[in-house]
Amino acid sequence: METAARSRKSDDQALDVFLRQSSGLVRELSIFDAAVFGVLASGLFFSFIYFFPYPQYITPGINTVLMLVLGTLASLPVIICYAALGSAMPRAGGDYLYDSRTVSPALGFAIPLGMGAFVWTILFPLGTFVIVSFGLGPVLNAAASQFGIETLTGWANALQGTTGQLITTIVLALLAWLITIRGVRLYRIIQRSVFLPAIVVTNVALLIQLFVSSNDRFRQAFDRFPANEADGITYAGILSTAQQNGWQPPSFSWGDTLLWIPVMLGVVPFVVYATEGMLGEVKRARDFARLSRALILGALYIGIVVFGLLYFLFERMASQEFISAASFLVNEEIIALPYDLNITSFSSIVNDNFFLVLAVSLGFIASAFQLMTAVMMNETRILVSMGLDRTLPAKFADVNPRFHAPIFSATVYVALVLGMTLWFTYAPEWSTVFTYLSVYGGQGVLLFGCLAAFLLPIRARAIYEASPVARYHIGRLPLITVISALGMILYVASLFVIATNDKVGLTGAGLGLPADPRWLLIVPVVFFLAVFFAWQWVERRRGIDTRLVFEAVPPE
Amino acid sequence: MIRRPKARANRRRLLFVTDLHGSDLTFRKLLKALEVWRPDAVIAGGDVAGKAMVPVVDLGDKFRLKWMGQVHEFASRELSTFLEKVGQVGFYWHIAPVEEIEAMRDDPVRTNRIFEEVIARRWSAWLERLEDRCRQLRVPAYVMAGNDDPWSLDAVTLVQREWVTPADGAVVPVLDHWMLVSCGLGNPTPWQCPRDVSESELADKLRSITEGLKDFSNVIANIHPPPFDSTLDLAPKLDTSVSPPRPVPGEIAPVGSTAVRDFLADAQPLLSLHGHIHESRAAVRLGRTWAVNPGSEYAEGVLRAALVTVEPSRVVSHQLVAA
Repeated sequence: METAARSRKSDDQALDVFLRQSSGLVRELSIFDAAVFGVLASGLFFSFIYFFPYPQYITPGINTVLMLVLGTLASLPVIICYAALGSAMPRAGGDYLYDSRTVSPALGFAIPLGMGAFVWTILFPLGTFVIVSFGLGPVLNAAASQFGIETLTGWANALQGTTGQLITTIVLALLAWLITIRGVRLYRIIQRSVFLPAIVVTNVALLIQLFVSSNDRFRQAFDRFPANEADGITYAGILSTAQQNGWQPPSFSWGDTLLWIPVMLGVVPFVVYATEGMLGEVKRARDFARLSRALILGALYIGIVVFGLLYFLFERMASQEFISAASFLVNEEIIALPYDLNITSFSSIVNDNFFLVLAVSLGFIASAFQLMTAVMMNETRILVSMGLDRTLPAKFADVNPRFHAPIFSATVYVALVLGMTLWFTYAPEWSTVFTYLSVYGGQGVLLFGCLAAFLLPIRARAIYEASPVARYHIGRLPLITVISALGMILYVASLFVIATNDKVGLTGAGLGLPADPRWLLIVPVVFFLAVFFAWQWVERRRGIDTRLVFEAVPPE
Repeated sequence: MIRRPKARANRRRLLFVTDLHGSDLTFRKLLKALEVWRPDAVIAGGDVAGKAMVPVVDLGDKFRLKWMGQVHEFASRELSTFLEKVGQVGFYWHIAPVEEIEAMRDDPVRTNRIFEEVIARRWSAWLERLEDRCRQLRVPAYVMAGNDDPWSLDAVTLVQREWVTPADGAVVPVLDHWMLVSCGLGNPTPWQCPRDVSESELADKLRSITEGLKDFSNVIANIHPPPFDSTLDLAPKLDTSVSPPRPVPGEIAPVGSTAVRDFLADAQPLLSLHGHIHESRAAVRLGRTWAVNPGSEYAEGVLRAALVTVEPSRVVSHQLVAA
C-alpha cells in the first residue's frame, strides 16, 4: 500500500505544470504578509505619541477611546476603496496606477510623487527621532542604570544629538535600501522573524503591564518613583496644583472628540498606503474579498487593539482626570516632569524592570525602521511602474533578475532620502514644514485614491467590469461608488479641519515656519507635473507616444 | 546631429502584429487599436490560423460540447454566446450530428478539410472587417501567412483588396518611402507545420524575393521566424524524442532561423519584423537593422504589438505595446 501511495504521489508530481523562469517583480507575499506589512507600516506605537498628551490639553472634553474607535471606523471606506482598486489592478504602482488610469495621467504621475514619495522622505529622520528617543535612548539609559555603566548614558545623549541622529538616519536609510534591493523574499523573512515578533512583544508587554496595574498601584508607584520623590511630585499634588492653576476636571464634549478624527484618517490608512504599491508581489491580490478582509482586520487591529485598548487600559491605570491634569500642567509649563509625558514612561513608573523597558523599546525600534523600509519598498515600486509606462526613463523599470528587486529605482530613492536628510539636519525649520507636508500629502493622496475608486466604473469601465469588486452593490449602486463617495466626503472634511483649525496643530500658526505647509504642497505637485510633460515631450521626439499607455483598447 | 525638417515630415508610425492564431478577441482589439494607436500602416506577420476545433454535437433540441474538460449542453440561443468564448481563445467549432462527428474521428482527411474550411471562413471574415476598418481610417494594411497557416489559406489571403494588400512572397511599396519584403515560411520545427521548410529553402526563398532589390536602406523585412540566436528566438528547449515533443524543464534555447540571420547580416534592411516565437518579445539591433518580435498572447486575449516609428533610412523608435 505504502509503495502504491508513493508511486501515485510521484506520478502526480510528474504531472505538475512547467513554469517559465520568473522575471521582474515576483509574487512572494501572501495577502496576510501584505496586510502585516501595512499594519506595521502604520508606525503603530509612535503614531500614538500624537494622541497623548497634546489633545487632552487642547481639547479637555475629548473622550480619547471613543475618538480612536470612531477614527478607525471612519478609515474603513478608504481602505475598502484601495482593496477594490488593488484587486482591479493587482500590479506594482499603487496610487500612480490607480490615479493615472482613472483621474488623469499627469495627475496620476504628480500626486504620488509630489504628495507622497518626495515629502515622505521626512519619515526617515522622523523614524530616527522615534528610534533614538523611544527605543535606543531608553534602552541605553536603563542599561546604564541596571548595570552601572555610565558610558551608555553618554551614548544615549550622543545618539539624541544632531550629529547622532544624522548618522543614525544615514545608517538606517542604507539598511532599508539594502533590504529593498535584496528583494521581498528576504524582506518577508525579516518581517516574520524580526519586525512582527518585536512589535507583538512590545504590544503584549505594554498591554499586560497596563492591565495588571490598578489605579491604586499606579498612585503608589508614582509617588514612590525616585525622580518624582526627588522633585516632590505626587499623584495628589498633580491634581491639586492643576486645580489651583485653573484646571477643571473635564466633561465630555463631542466637538473635542470628533476634532481629532482627521488625525486618525491619516494614521490608520497607512495599512493601505504601504500595501498598495506592493500588490504586484502579492499572491491572489485579485481576490477582493480576501484583500479587503485582511486590510480591514489590519486597520481594526491598529485602531482598536493598539490604540483603543492600550489607551483604555492606560486611562484605567492613571485615571482620566490625572491624565488631563498632568497634560495641563506640562503644556502650561507650570511644572516640568523629569521624564516625557507618554504611555511608555508612565508604564515604566509602575515597573522599571530593564527587560520590560527593553521589550517596549524594541517595538519602537522595529516599528520605526519597518516604516522606513516600507516607504522605500513602496515608493520604488511606484517608480518601477512609471518606468514600465515610460513616464519616467525605462531604466527605472529595471528589476534585478536574481533578487527580483528594482535596484536602480531604490538607489535613486535612497539618494533623494539622504539628500533631504542633510537638508533637514542643517535647516531644521524645514524639517517641521515637511512633517506637516507629509500629513497634508498623505491625506491628499488618499483623497485622490477615493476619487480614483469613484471614477473607476466611469473612466476605466473595462477594468472595472473585469474586476471582482464589480459584483458588489449597495442597493442599485455599485459598492465602490458608494464607499468612495463616502471616503471623499470624509477626506475633504478632514483636510478642511486640519487646514483651518489651529487646535489640531497642523496649520503651523504661531510657529514662525519659513513657508505655509498648506500651500507649499502645490510646489512639488506642479514640479512633477512639469517633469511629466517634459519627459513626455522628450519621448515623443524619439517617436514614443507615452499617452498610449493610458488608452484602453477594448475589443471592437 | 540635427535632422532636416523634411525627414521629420516623412516620419511614419507602423503597427506590427503577428501570431493571432484565430483569436477573435485579439483580432477585435486590433481593429479598435487602429483607431486608438493611429498607425499610418499596419503590417501583419502571419500565423492567423487557430490550433483546435471543438466538435459540437447537434442533438436536435440542444447541443452538446466539451470545453475545458467539462461537458456542457446548451439550447440554441445559449450556444452562440458560449461559442463566442470558444472563438475568443482562437478555437473553431464544427456543429454536426453525432454520427458525423464520430465519422470525422476515423477520417483524418475529411477532418482536415473541415478544419481548413473553418480557418478560411474566419480569416476571410477578419479580412473583410479589416478592409472596412482600414478604409474608414484610410490606413493601408499588409498581410501574409505564417508557417502554421495551411496553404489553402492563400486563396483567401492573396485576394487583392483596396486597403488590405497581400504581401507574402513579394516586395510591395509601403507609404511612398519604404519597400516591404514578406516571407511567411518557417525554418523546421518539431511540430512539422505546413510551411516549415529547410534552412536552405528558406534562404533561397528570401534570395529570390529580394532578387531585384539593390538598396536595402529603406527595406522593411517581414519574415515570420526570427533570426537565430538573436534573443528574439528564445523558447523552451524541446525533447523531440517523444511525440508530441515536450519541453525540457528549465532549459531555454534559441530556435530561430540561420537563413534569416544570414539574410539580415548580408542585406542589412532598415527594419526586420518577426513573430513565431510567442514568448520572445523583444527588440534588438543587428548591425544596421532593428529587429523586432512583439510576441503573442493570443490565448489570453491579449494583443501584443509593436509600434515602430520610421523616417526614410532611419528607425526613429520602437514601442512594444499591448491591449
